[in-house]
Amino acid sequence: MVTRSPKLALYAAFAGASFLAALALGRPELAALGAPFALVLVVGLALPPPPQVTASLRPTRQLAVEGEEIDAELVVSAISPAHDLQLALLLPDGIRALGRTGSLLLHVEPGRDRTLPLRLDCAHWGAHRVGTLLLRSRDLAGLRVLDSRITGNTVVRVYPRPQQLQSLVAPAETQPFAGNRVARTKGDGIEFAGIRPYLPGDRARRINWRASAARQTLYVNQQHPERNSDVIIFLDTFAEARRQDSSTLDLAVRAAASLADHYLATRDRVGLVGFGGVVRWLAPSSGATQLYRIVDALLETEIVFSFAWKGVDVLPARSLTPQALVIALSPLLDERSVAALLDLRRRGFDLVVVDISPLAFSAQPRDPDTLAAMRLWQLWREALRFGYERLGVAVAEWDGQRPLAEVIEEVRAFRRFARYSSA
Amino acid sequence: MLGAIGLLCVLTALLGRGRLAGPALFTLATEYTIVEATGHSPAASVIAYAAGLIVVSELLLWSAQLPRSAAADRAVAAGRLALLTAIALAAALLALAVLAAAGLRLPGALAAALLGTAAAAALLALPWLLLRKPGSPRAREHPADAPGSEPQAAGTGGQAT
Repeated sequence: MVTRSPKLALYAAFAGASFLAALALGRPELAALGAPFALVLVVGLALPPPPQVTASLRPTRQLAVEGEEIDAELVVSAISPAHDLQLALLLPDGIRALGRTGSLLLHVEPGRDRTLPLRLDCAHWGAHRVGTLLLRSRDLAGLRVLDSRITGNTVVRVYPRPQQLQSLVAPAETQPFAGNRVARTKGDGIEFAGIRPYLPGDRARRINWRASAARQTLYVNQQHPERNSDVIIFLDTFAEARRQDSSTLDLAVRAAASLADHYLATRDRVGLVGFGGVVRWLAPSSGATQLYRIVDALLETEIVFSFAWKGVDVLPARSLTPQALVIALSPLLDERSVAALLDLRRRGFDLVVVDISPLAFSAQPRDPDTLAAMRLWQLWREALRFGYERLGVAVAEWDGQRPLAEVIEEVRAFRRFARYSSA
Repeated sequence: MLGAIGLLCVLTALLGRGRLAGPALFTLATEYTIVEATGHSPAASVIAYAAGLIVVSELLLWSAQLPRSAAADRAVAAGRLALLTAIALAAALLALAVLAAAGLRLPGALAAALLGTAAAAALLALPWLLLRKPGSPRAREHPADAPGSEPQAAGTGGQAT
């Protein structure tokens, strides 16, 4: 919508005041002072109104990994000459324009697209809608202004950069599908499991001649088959602790993406459960497509505030497959997620909890009361972790400062020596 | 004194991104009015002052429009410079014309009445031009100018729950 600029009111007031003063004082020199302002008004308003301008931001690609830079083009066009076009690019929090930080003042010829190269820094993971622009065009005299806003509809998906993991938490049980994990059961495979007496139907190549000679009867070798496992990444989205542009959910999403990447690389099937105000799930599957499905689902993960009590009953059976390893990424802030994890363990799931510590996001206590409250909270969290450990659940705290690999090693160390109580 | 205040206002307007452009303009004009009321300035100074005043006000208002971290095109700067020169020249010529018209000695009452009527009509046409809805004929030609016709964002899509 075309609006009048402050200049119009100022010039009109000045011209009117000078003409009145000239009449009142009988001094034509004062009219000569105001006449140029009146002339600008008359000529400026007789000129065409501000031109209608269209603009769009076109990134060269819409997929990127955190920290990458992508090229984009800003294309501006006008139906009549835009002498003084002011353009501001509104970018979402996770995307930054390199070089051009402020707004632009452009001259656009009619019928000729003006293309400006831009470089965008994908600073933070997320599905970012880019291309929202604020445009302000003026007529030649600057008396009328046309403001418009163009809402961008291009989504740039920035995937979290996966962390390097030296090892993974091995699931307690395997699935019947072929994979890279040595199963506990015996069958056709590579890893030696033991020997047993020969039975009719056993292949001659499996006979262990040394054992057979020692025992004076035929023995055959047994192997562990190579199978895959199901890993469910359980993301707690009930609550988060946030400070500036980082939060526990942010860390959890990064950890989830890293774990999914590494487990899928070892031919395991990986599923995702987002447990919070909105419950989302992806049934376990394997392959690169599943990785993209998981990461896309993670990008849309957000905290949805809800009072509704939810248990694991709301999850469909196919999202939590039997004998799956469940890796929960939770700040353990919400009672519902704490209870759901205990429920999962009591139902016999092989559970690991990565406690995304909210302590790193809390303010430093300054007075003794706050300090005491903080210590009580820490004690409560320790008691909660101990409760999980009593059920045979490995719990490791992650504050985002140390590598995720360290946390995984902690979990592995616990599971190596843990004695599972009857769940 | 008023001149000094006016210059101070100009400086403040330049530093404060045109916030005091109006007061600066009126203070400078008041200072000149006092000078004119108390004495008589030569025609050249009136012409120079009229041109200078509008150039200063244009520059102040442009500085207000310019965003702090804006990257301006060279074509925009060149266009503004040309426009400023044209405005200064037109202002000088107009001030000269006004002074010349003020010095006219008309031969009869009829001619004076006609000239006065024309001047009054021109003065009355000015508010009409100002109060007319800006750009309304063009807005009807281009419905994109109308409110609510801006491009809308595409839907974000549903999510599985």
